Amino acid sequence: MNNKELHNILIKELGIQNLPEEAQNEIVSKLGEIILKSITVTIFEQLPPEGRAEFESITQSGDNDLIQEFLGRTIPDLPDLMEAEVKKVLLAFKTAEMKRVNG
Amino acid sequence: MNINETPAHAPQQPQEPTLTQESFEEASRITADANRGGQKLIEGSNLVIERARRGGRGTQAEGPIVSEAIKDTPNGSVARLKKVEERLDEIAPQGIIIKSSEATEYDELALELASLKKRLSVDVEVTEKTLPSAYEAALKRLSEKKSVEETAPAEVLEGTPTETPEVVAEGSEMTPEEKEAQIQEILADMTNGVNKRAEEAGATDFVRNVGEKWRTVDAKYKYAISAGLILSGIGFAAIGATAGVAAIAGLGTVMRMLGGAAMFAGFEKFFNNRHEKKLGEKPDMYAKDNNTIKAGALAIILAVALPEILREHIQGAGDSIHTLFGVGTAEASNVSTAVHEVSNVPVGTPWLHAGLHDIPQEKLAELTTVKAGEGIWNPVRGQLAFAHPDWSPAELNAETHKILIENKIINMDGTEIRVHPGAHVVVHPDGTITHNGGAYDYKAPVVEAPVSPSTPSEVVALNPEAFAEKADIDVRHYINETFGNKGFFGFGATTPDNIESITAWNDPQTGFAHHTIAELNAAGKGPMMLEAHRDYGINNEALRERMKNSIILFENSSGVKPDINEKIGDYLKRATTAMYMNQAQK
Repeated sequence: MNNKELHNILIKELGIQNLPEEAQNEIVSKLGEIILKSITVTIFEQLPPEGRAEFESITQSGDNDLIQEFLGRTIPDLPDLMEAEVKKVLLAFKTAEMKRVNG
Repeated sequence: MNINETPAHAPQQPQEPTLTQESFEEASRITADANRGGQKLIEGSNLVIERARRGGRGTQAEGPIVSEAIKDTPNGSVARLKKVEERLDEIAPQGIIIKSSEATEYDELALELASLKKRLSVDVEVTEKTLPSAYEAALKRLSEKKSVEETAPAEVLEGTPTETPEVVAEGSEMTPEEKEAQIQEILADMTNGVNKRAEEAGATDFVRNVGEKWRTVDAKYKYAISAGLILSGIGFAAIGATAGVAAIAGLGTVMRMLGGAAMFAGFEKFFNNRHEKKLGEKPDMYAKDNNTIKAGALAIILAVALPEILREHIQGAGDSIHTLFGVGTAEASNVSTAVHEVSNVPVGTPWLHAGLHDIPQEKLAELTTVKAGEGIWNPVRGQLAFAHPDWSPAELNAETHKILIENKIINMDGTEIRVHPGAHVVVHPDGTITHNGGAYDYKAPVVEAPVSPSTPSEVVALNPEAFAEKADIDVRHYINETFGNKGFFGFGATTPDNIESITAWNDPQTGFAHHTIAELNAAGKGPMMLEAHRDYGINNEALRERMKNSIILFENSSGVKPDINEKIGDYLKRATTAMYMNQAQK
């Protein structure tokens, strides 16, 4: 299986295999942006108000160890949440497709 | 292989899936409720897929399950489908999850099931009448009713027009332009929804920065990263591990650069450690792939707040990163490049491997210098080891081997490019290699030269039996990881100790363990050995290539040359035993 096949799987999963290649790539990239933003929001949603300010401050510091320690302590389920967020975005996309198709 | 063949016991028309409007609406409502929480999402998606699963399978009285009604595809999708169905029934009989701890697995399996069904319906060109996927059947059924109410998850799709859109007439099809416009509208709605969530969470500025930074990223990298994220959501198990590994190998490099190598590596280790702590076992290949993607995503998000790191690592990437997924073009990717000679080693420049920016010049010189009697293997492996201290020896060997193959440093015909001692070899972020030494072809006696199967006499004195048992276990693990269900095409053992079940390795006719290297080299040049096993073991071209690569890997790691008349299984054990004994001598 090469990357062309992988690309084909991807666009079939998204139901965009009949679109022009340029459009396919743009849609994939836009969906990626939405996923990244959604994960960002999820992180903030999991933090208490005071934690949000601390998070922004820590990320500005650039201290990798501190960032990891903070996230590990405040959002221990972060990996699961990230995974769920990706699936949620994909599910929302497919659901919206179904809805639009059927009016 | 005729996918439309129906076994005698099966009815001519399999039961149409019964994803109902009601069930879809129910799932959609739950999904909307779950918009702000991870667990409810799982429940929501479970329901959607569960409805599809129930519909797709039907009951015994109604007709056969999909996986029993059709023959398998070359990559074993139907077999995998059956396994997934069985596991789902095991975890959730009657659609009810018995153990909450298995909810995540259930969710992944359910998504994989839907993915497999959908893929099968496309790949094997099954008509909608004979084998519609649950998804397609649902669309058809809902379309026929023409009375869909607002069912989309409102919170997910905030910004969606509330009026009922125009109904698509039955039988009519959208043009590509209409379809694209529709999807763009969906994406715009989803973006609005995320922005609104960000506002409520007090993350507006942070999310805006993510968006702004994203817009500065080159289109081809955007595509590669997005594809990785989406594929991680689909599930690498559903895609096939080979594809997943290939994708992640490239994506990891891009994400390391965009997110900062140190941060990326830190999160990757963090996620893998957490997996081990939570489940009490090391992450398998799929879990590692997922962790790589998640680590990359997190590093990119946080790199927005760390502009210096981002700038440092994005500089120099330029166009040197070769196509990933045919980035931007959808063409098949070929990362392989010729070896480029350079006049000066770019020490201290961002052209070095992503993890080698901050090391002292002396150390860098040591890592890049080719020593007398050595090939390019050692400098490459050494640089990787320094950049990735958390990688295991096996991972380092595999990556080194992959880089050397892709750069055509070593070839399957036994030739190898070598440079003169003292030259410098540099591994770049995209996996390409440059050097400043005179290159010459070196004929490595990879498989041509029969050698005595005996190990060196001084090594024998160390009692090889003591190491043979350990070698046997490790070879089993290696094969399981590389050719078993954790590593290739989804078939094989379910546990590391169940190696005997791996068809590709142990099948009497086609298993690699029972064939010599000479037979491996000759395979594929004549008729298939057995029709029943035509896609397995030595009859499978992709597996053959992987096995040839494995043999080179074992030879490079152990220094033990294979005998062309030696069985592959025996050679791998012999090489591994020698490797341990050599290590023990040092």
